Parts: sequence; structure tokens; C-alpha cells
Amino acid sequence: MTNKNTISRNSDLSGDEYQWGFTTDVETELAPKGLNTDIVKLISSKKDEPAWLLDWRIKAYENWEKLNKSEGEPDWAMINYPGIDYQDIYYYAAPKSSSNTPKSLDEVDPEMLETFEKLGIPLNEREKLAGVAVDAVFDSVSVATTMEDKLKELGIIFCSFSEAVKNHPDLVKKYLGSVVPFSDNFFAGLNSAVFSDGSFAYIPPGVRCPIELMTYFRINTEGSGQFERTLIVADKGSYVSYLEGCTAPFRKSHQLHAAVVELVALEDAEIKYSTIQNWFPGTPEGEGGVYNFVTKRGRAEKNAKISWTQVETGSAITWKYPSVILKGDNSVGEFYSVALTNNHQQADTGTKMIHLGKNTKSTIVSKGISAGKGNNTYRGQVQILPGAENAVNHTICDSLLVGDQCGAHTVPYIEVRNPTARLEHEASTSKVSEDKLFYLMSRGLSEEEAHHMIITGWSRDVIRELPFEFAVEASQLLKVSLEGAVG
Amino acid sequence: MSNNSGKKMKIYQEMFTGIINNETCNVLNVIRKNAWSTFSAKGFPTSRKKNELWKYTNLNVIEKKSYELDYNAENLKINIDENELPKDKKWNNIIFINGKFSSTHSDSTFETGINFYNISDVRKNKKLSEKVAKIAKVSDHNFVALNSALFQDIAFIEVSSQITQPINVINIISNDSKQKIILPRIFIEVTDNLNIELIESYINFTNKSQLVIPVTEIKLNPKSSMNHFRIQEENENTFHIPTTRVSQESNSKFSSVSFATGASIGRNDILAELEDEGSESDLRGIYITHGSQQQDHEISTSHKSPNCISNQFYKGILSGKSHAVFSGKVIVERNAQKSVATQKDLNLMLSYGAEIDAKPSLEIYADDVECAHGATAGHVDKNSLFYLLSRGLGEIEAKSMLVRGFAEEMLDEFTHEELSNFVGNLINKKIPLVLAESDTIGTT
Repeated sequence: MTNKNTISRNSDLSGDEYQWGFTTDVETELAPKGLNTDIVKLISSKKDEPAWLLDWRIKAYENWEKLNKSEGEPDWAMINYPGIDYQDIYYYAAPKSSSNTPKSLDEVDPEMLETFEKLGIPLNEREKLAGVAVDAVFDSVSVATTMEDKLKELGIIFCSFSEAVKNHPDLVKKYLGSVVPFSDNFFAGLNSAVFSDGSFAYIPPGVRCPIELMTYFRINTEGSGQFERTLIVADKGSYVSYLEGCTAPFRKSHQLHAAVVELVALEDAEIKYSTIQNWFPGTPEGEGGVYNFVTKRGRAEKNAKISWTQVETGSAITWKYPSVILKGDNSVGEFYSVALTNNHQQADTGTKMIHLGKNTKSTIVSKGISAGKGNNTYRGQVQILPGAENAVNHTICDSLLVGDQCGAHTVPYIEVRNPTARLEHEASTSKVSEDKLFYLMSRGLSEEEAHHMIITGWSRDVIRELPFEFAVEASQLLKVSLEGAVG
Repeated sequence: MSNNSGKKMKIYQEMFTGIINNETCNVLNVIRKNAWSTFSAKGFPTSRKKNELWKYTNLNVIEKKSYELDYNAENLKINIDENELPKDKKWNNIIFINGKFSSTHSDSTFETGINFYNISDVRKNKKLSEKVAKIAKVSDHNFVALNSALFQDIAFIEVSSQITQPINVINIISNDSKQKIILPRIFIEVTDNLNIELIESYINFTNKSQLVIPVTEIKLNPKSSMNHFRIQEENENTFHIPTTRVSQESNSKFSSVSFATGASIGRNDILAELEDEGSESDLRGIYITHGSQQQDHEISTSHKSPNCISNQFYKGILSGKSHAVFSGKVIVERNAQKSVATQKDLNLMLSYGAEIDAKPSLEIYADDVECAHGATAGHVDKNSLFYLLSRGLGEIEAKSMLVRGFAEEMLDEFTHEELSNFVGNLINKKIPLVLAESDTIGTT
């Protein structure tokens, strides 16, 4: 395999099995299984966290425990899974060598570097050419951040969450939990109590971040949950494009991933957040795979814009609703999503657009593809509150069915409290047109190629929103994920 | 269960004891007991989290009021202005007053082909009583359970040969000082190959709050069809919570159009089950609300067999601080290949303070389907309004024209002249009320 970057690595893929299923033999430091106040304190002390953060974690834990006893996990989504035993999970798993945080790439455990080689992350010097700064989070602990120096010149902060807590406590304190409070929901509460690391980015006023920032997440240790936290603050008039990718090894048991992402776009700022989610989806028989329960939300102040683009092909279960609170007047929220389920995968995903400010606009384009025995649900909420004068929403959510054992569901919630709002929602569900398939196959394409071509075209409205490198990867991923579903 | 609802439950328990002690029919006895055990366990639905069906509707206000069951309403004769009823001499008019059949006000004979039975007939005939509560299932619905436990009379209709005039079932609540609970019940079965029309209306002549909980069960045998018209114009203190369940055999067709303008909280809960191949369901309606009214539409279509077609199309006009909920659901089961389903909800929102919650959902398990849905909400179109104003119309006049135009499409669905005149008049009466509470938006 050539050592180029993510794109070529992915395009080399063949076969219908999960390609990122290797494990890395890195000595790991594990806290005992189970969740209690001591574990929360342990995590906090491992990170040398200030008292206010520990307090926050403890409050989050207490709130979560109350919720766990009274209501338990949310059960409104169209997903089925056996209950999770929250006492049978490692809440802290860190590569041992990271207790002395590496100062440069040379200090990073070589085996870990090899992992990232396998992942195809352009982590080392040469691959800076790819124009991507990467913060790689390995079993919840941030391992290395690239291109930090270059960003520093512009005043951009891009580092692991723990470093941000150490070096920029005021920023973290000000914005942590300001978009997703720990009381928000069950999984966000869990994350707030036990998050071990994640990424932090701050773009100063008026700065346009010249490169895409990127985080790569990986779960390695068996039986461990991953609880990372991302916080991005775009100060007035700034711009940043942020990418996120994720993989996990091939395991027969389920792994829990409960992340929180908070975006703050201050006046006139713009954040573009792109995700390619390719956690291990489980075997074709439905064994194992990642439970991906993620809370993502952004707050857009006056004239700000937040755009979420996601390609969701992995995970046994995806439960995520990247949302935008359109707080400021004239703010804009966008959500572009392709979610694919094959074999026994289940996805319940969509967005929330909460219109508070005047002249706020939101656009939702969701494409759901169900194949095999997969179940794919679009669940979205558009809320126009009384003060949101002249708010506009346009929603399109389309579903495509491949095979007769899958399910495609659409559950939009439209809540309008202001008469000046204009709101349009349209959706369709169908299978791949026989005519189109016939046309392509009569020109020599195999059935699988024809399906891939049609599906890529059908998803184009979303894929084209991705940064160029990601767009190619996304298209390849769709192809790989669909293998075995046709013919 | 809170203390308050515990007390209320006691009142319903007393009603149930009164009913069950006088139930002479073994079959109905079993149905009522099952129904009561369901209702007493479930109580009234709460709008708390996790209760998706009642997410946007708070029924606490009903629980706070006291209603009584009228045990003495046998064959009431009341003074009614016949012009206030959706009625025509040619039709087969069946009148219920306060939940009980009134032979005085109903037609004395019906067209050949209509076999009408009330509850005393049903009690005597096991073949009839055994059909009750089969299509509307007691186990999964609070209000089907409450009605099944307490209903005092029934319009049990079998149509055995082709008829030419509609069957017109009018439910009247009389003008007296009591707050009553009324439990209208209709069962209608249509024999193969027949096409019939059913009009179902709810009208009251009192300003007192009433709790009206109807259950309508409709069975369409192969190749039969029904045009169903539903009119709800009760007073604005009344709670109207009906359940309609339709079971459709092969190649049957059910078309329903509803007009909902009355009630404090009104609901229209329909489930059409397309049991067998080639059946069609077309559910439509319009709701107009003002003041603090709430209208819910809980509209479900279940495709259980291949080659079925369904449509849901609802329109709403809201002003004041009123609230409308549209919760449409289309389910396409795994074997229901070649299903075609459409779903649409369009809302005109005329004032600040009004609220629309629309949830048009699709649940699809078959791949060879064509399903589409849409929903919109907004004010009257600025350009259209400007056009009319520029031609010299006053704002109210212009808006009235646009609102009426928006409603017209649904009015056309009431295909009988008498009926469309009746509904047209109701719309005309309502529009000024609605416009009086509308806000001027974006006309400049």
C-alpha cells in the first residue's frame, strides 16, 4: 500500500469487509470498569484539571445518575438494542506513553504512529502538503496535533481539549456546556461526567483559518467507551472549516461512543463542520459494532452561519442530530447528510433547527440509504419560535431502499409559532429506478457499478458540500459500505 | 396517578358500575369489562415526555372538569331548527340525541338495503354484538377503551344491497344545563361491490362544556366503497375526541373528508388499514380555528398488502391563539410492495400567538414503493394580497377572499350540494371570526 493520504488509501480498498478493523498493541492504562464519583474524580485528576471542571463533571454525573434511575436511556428513536450495562465499561483508557505528553512527533509511540499510518492519517511532515492539521484522538486521549505552529502565527488555537483546559482555561470555562449543557440529554450527561479528551479550536476575530482543521478518532481498547468532547469557538467575523473522521477495530462486542460537539459562531462568523463517520458497523450477521450516541449542536449569533455536513456509513447504531440554534438575527443553519445502513445497521439521525432570531434561515438536505436488513430513520425538528420574524426553512429528505428487507422512515417535527415564517418540507421514498439501472447496465456497467453511480449522483447535493478530499473519500465509502447489498 | 386523577377515576368507575350492572348481553359484558380494565389502568393520556401520540396536546383541562352520564335520555324529543342540521329529506337520516338513538327525530323507514340496529337489537343478536370492538381495538387506545366501557347506544348498520341516498348519522347534544359525557358509537359494514355514502356530524345546542368521545368502526368488504363526510361544529367549550377505524378488504375504496371547526380541543383520529390487495384510501380534511381552540389530526394509513394506494391531504387555517396539530403517519409493511402513498399538510397561519405542529411521518419496510410527503406553513401570500389590494379591495375583504380560496379546494370535496352548502355556510360564518383575530403581516 502506498503511503499517500486518506484518499488514495481508501480508494485502494476492495472486498466487502470493514477495512479499518486492525487493533494496535499499545500499552494502555485502564481505570477500573464502572462509573461512580471516584472514577469521575480519577479521570479529572489524571488530567490535572482545575477544581471548577471537576465540580462541573461531578454535577453532570449526579444529574446523569438521577436520569439513569428515573427514565434511563431515551427510547423514542427507532432503534433496537439490548440495554447497555453502564457499569461494565471502561471509562478511562489511555495509551500509557501519553502520561508524558509528546512534544513533537518524534516522541510519539512509534507503534501508534504506525496505527495512524494504517489509518491513512496525514500526520507527518510530508503530508502537511495535504493542507490538513490533524488532532488525533486515540481511545479518548489526544495523541498529536499537527501544524500547530503555523496556526499559532494567526492566533488560532487548535489543540487537544486537555491542553486547552491547561493553557486556555478562560475560553474553555466560558464556552464549555454553553451550547450543550450537561443536563441536555442522557448521553450528553454521561459524556460531560467522563469525557477524557477531545479537540478544541478557537479562531480569533476576523481570521479566516487558511487550512482545514481535522480530528481523527479511534477506539482501540476492547470494552472501553469513547467519550470525547469537541469545542469550537469562531470569534467575530472568523471562518473555519473543520473535519472529523472516525474508525474503530473489529470487535465482536459492542462499543459505546458518546461524544459531544459544541460549536459557537459569534457575530458574522462561519463554521463548516464535516464528518465522515465510519465506526465499525458490526459483522454482516449483526455482531458487534459501535453504538454511536452523539450530541452535536451549534449556536449561531448575529449574521453567523453554521453548516453541518455528514456522511454516516459506520456504526451498528447511529443516534445523532447535529443541530443549530439560530439565536442571532440573520443567522443561517445548514444540514447536509447522507446516512447509509447496510446489513444489520440502524440509524436514527437528522437535525434540529431552532429559529430564535429574526430573518433566520435554515436548509436541510437529508439522504437516507437503506440496504440489507438496515433501518434508516430521518428524524428532524424545525422550530420557529415567536420572535423569529420572517424565518425561512426548507427541508428535503429523501430515502432510497435497496433490497426488500430494509426499512426507511421519515419523522419530521415542524413547530411554527410565528405567522411570518415560511416553511416547506418535502420528502420522498423510493427504490432505485429500474429504468436508470437498465440504461446503465445496457452500457456495460455491472449491477453494482450502476447502483453505485446512481446513488452517488443521488447523494450529490450533500457530497458536494464536503471539502474536496473528503468528497472523494465519501463516495468511495458509500461504494464499500454498499457492497454485498446488490445482486 | 395524581390524587386529582384518582378522584376523577372514581367518577368514571361509578359510571362503569352503572352501565355494567344493566348490561344484559354477555358479549357486550365481556367487551365492557376488558375495556374498563384497560381504561382504568391507562387513565387519560398525558402529554408528558414519551407519549408521542399526545406530545402536543394537554388534556389536564378535561380531567379538571366533571362530566355526568345521562342515564335518562331515552328517545328524547327536543326543539330543533331543522335548518341547523346537515340534513335532507331524501337522505336516510338517523339521529342520536345525547348519545342515544331518537326514533322520534330519525326517519321512520330507510331505503331497502339498510339494516339499522340500535343497542337493544344488538344485545339480542350475537352475530351483531360479536362484531363490536373488533376493528377499533380496545387494548391500545385510552378513548376507544373508555367508549367501549361506557357507550349507551350504537348505530349498527349493515348495508346489504345498493342504495342511492347517503346514510346520515347526526349526533346532537341538547340544550340543557349539564356537563355531559357523550359516547357516540357507529358500526357500519358494507357488503361486497356496493358503493355507499356516510355522513357523520356532531352538533350541539348548548354552550356548556361537553365531553364527546365517539368511536366509529367501518368495515369495507371486497370491491365496496364508501364516501365518508365528517362534520364537527360543537361549541368551543366542548372536548371532542373521536376515533375512527377502517378495515378495508381487497379492491375496496375509502374516501373521507372532514370539516372541523368546533370544540375547545377537537381531534380527528383515523386509522385506515389496507388489509388486502388493490385497496385505496383517501383521507382529507380542513380545520379552521380561532381564539384558544385546538384541533388535532392524528391520521394513519397502514399498507398491509401489495398494490394499495393511499393519500392524506389536510389543510388548516389558524388565527388568534389557536393551535393545530397534524400528525400523519403512513406505514408500509414488508410485503406491501407496489404501494403508492402521498401525504400533505398545508397551513395558513394568520396571527401571532397561533401555533402549528406538523409531523408528517413515513415508516416504510418495503422497497418497491413510491411515497412522498410535504408540509408547509405560512401567511397568506404577499403577492396575491398586494394584487387584490391594488385593485381596490380592503384588507379584510382581500384576506377573506384568499382564505376562502384556500378552503375552497376542500369544500369541493363535499360532493352533495346540500352538504357543501351547509359546510360553505359554516366556513362563511367562521371566516370573519378568524380574520378579526388575524394580524397584518407583510402587506407593505
